[in-house]
Amino acid sequence: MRAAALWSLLWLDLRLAWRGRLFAVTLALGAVMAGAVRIFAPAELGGAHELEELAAAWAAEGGRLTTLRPQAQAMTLQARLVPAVICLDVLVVGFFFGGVMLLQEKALRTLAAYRVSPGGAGLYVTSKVLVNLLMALLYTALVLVIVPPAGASIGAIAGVMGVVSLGSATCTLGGIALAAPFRGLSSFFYPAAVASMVLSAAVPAYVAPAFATEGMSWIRALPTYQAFFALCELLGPGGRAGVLPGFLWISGVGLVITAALAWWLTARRVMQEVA
Amino acid sequence: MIEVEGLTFSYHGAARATVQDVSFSAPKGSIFGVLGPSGAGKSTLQKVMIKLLPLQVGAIRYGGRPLAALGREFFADVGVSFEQPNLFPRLSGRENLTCLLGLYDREHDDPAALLAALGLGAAADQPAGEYSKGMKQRLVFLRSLIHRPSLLFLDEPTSGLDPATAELVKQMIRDRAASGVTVILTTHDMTLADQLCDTVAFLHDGSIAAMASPRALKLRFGERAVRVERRIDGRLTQEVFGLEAPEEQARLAEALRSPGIETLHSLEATLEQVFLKVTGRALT
Repeated sequence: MRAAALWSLLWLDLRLAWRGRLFAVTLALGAVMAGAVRIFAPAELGGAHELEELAAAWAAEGGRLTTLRPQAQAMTLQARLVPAVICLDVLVVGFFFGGVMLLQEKALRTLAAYRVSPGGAGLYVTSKVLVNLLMALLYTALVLVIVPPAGASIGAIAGVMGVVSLGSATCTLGGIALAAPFRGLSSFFYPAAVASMVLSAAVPAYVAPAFATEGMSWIRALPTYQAFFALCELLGPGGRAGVLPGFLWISGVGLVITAALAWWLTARRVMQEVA
Repeated sequence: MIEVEGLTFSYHGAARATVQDVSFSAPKGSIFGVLGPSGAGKSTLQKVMIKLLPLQVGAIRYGGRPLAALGREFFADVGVSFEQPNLFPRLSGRENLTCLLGLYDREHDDPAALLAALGLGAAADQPAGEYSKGMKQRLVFLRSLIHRPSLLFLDEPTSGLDPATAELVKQMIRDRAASGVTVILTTHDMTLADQLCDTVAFLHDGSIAAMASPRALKLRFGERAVRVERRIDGRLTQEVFGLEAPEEQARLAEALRSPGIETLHSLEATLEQVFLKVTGRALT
């Protein structure tokens, strides 16, 4: 019965997201971002030839060359930008959408109709997470079609989808939890913008990893930071075997915390507010 | 059957209780009206009864079981029509009617038949955001019925409806009650309550000031009178004579003997007058 109820609620949320153009916005954003990467980011390895010559000259002079991560593959800028494009939507926009879906229903007072039905906070939150998850997976698939990852195996692509799923669920739940105390979109906007800026702090750390050191090491605890490097590792092996377990650990803990918070705030605050 | 016993509810920080020591019972298949002006505590009472607000003092039993012990099965058995329409504007009328049906594990009415019954058949596939206020009100009312609840809470169900549609809504409520549905009607429309309710409770400052059938209340508190229209010296005059006091009866007898009587009207007390007499306060 609960599975049938979840399916029913999911079908409702899918229609609301579709007619609210959330799918269209998500896919358009994916097409624009991935298209820009495909067109403007170089697909060749710049400077690789010079590096090889330099290494040969160094060896000829008797120098000793030590490779820190021999299994690492060089990535083109285009390939390196793909994880960033994926994370932008899945984590930052997904975070916004989670809150927006909740606040729209508060504003329309449709939550009151739901509140007096046999549904419950758990079912309500789960449905929202699944809708955002579907959008995140479609977005990721679109990005990977427009900028195909060279040499990535089916397993790696499945891994990317797994990372996206975990990240999307965590961020949607975070968005719902953050939006729960607010009455409308306008009051939610500023806290959400601040939270999105914090999540986006992983971008400079991904582009220049040294950014996340010297007092900025907290960035490494962000799910976005872990997701960036986990995706990068899946799409172009960099020999950093610890990245994926690190992502799973941090995101797993984040998922449990945000799920508990989102459920608790929805049950104790949002569902009571309709009175 | 739903029973309320000694219910008292106070909002946090409020100086006095919004609902005070309210007790009543609504048998299966009856229509129970909660009447009172704005701020009397009607909505708070209803919210406690549908578990939107916590039960603080007193007891509520539904089907003999304490409300606190009932979980989802209570909501599966309840239909609520809100005064303020709360619909998904991008979904059609039909979709709004059926979108939450999957949450109920029970038989339901045919959506098309319901929509047609209240004149929404032609607009069934139109987005609810394009509906007029009255159409939205009708749709919210139908949404409360479609899953065949055994307990129906209606908050001003005919508000904003034209007389013909309001009559259809009233007939649907009567039909549901006749089929065994218990109806709790919250309203300040005394005519509606008079026409529909088996029992009405006047809520005044959070307490029940009077409770009985509309007829019993009118007989007990109402004043019977006769209005006489006479033409005297070519001018039409109107006089009202009470039937309770002997001197009024004598004046009426004298008037009836005089020439020029054009019309006679018996004046029955309205629930509104009874409410004013009982509480000392008008409804609006």
